[in-house]
Amino acid sequence: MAACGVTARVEPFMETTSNLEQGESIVILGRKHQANYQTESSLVDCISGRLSSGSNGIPIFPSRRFENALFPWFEPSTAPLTTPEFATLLENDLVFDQIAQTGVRYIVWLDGSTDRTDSGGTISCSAGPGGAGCVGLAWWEDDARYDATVWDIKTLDSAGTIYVDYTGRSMIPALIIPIPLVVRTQQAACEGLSEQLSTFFVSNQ
Amino acid sequence: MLLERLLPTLIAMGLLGCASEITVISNVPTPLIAPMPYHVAVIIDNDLQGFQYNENIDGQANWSITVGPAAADLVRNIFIGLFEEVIFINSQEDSVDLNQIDLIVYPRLSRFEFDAPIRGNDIFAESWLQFTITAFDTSGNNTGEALVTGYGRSEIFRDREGSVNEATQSALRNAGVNIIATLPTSLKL
Repeated sequence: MAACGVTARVEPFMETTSNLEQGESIVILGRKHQANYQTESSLVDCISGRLSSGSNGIPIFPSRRFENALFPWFEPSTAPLTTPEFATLLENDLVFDQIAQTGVRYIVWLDGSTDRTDSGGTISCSAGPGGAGCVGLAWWEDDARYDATVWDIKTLDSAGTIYVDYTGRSMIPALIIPIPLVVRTQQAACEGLSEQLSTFFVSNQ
Repeated sequence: MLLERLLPTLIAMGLLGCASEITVISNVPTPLIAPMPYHVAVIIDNDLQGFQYNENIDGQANWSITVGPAAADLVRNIFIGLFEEVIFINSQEDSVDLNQIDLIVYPRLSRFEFDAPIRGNDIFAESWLQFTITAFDTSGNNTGEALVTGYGRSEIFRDREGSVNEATQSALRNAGVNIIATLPTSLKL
């Protein structure tokens, strides 16, 4: 049972805190251009929700609305990967004006995924006239690795990157009844990233 | 007693579990691009509008994926953004004032494939589709043809049908991007 839990590593790198003036907001986008993984929409939604909630909530522009308003420039195959590429994209007046209309000041790019890295054990279940039951132990390990890179649209510069790595081990011991002890590794990564990002942005609204 | 009560429900669930029906929801917006200076008639025929993909996968289910309405919506939104003036017609036989248009474009959804694995390390539902887009001049002569593909994937969590739907939506968006990027060159516009 003690083996069930989360280990975390968080490496923030931010030049300075960033102020959001009246009418400004941030948008959180997931990278989806890699062949072997894509950043989950559920993580984007989780971080957006956490940052915008509470009395000190940060104004968040919905990611899907942003992607739709700027279609086709922020699709997996077209989104700028670097700030110089982004600067080139902003030379397009239509794109520049549309981003200005959204009021988005910072783009937070999430890149990474939560993967099952290991699993094992067995649970056997049987049923008979006298009753039913299970015996055994099954476990699995998830690894949530993400980095969040913040782009400042005004300065066309990267304002910093946060790297998090959460490893969580879940298990289901069964002695007649299976008892799932599930660790929500992606949720832990969401909470860690949200906490770091919330210290980075200061809303003056 | 309990089993007797649950049996009809279990049988119904088992039967329902053998069929996966999806109607793909459209989510491709009008693109943010400068339209090309052409007046174009775009054919959206019943084959495109009613496109449905059916496949019986051994050990899985009978899949029925209705892509047509979403694909037709994609065509409408992309072409409205791509050209200065666009009218939509049902077939080449529809009456069109030929003096008012430069080009007739006929997009067809020519191929569709999908994958929704149920075991192994592959955790993505994937969709792939291909549009064949033919252009005609106002005399009805074929002036060019373009094959445009789209690919999308979505992680499978609990709901495999939902993941296939999302993967197909992504494939349609990707096809939209590729139409914008390649059609003008492919059709020598």
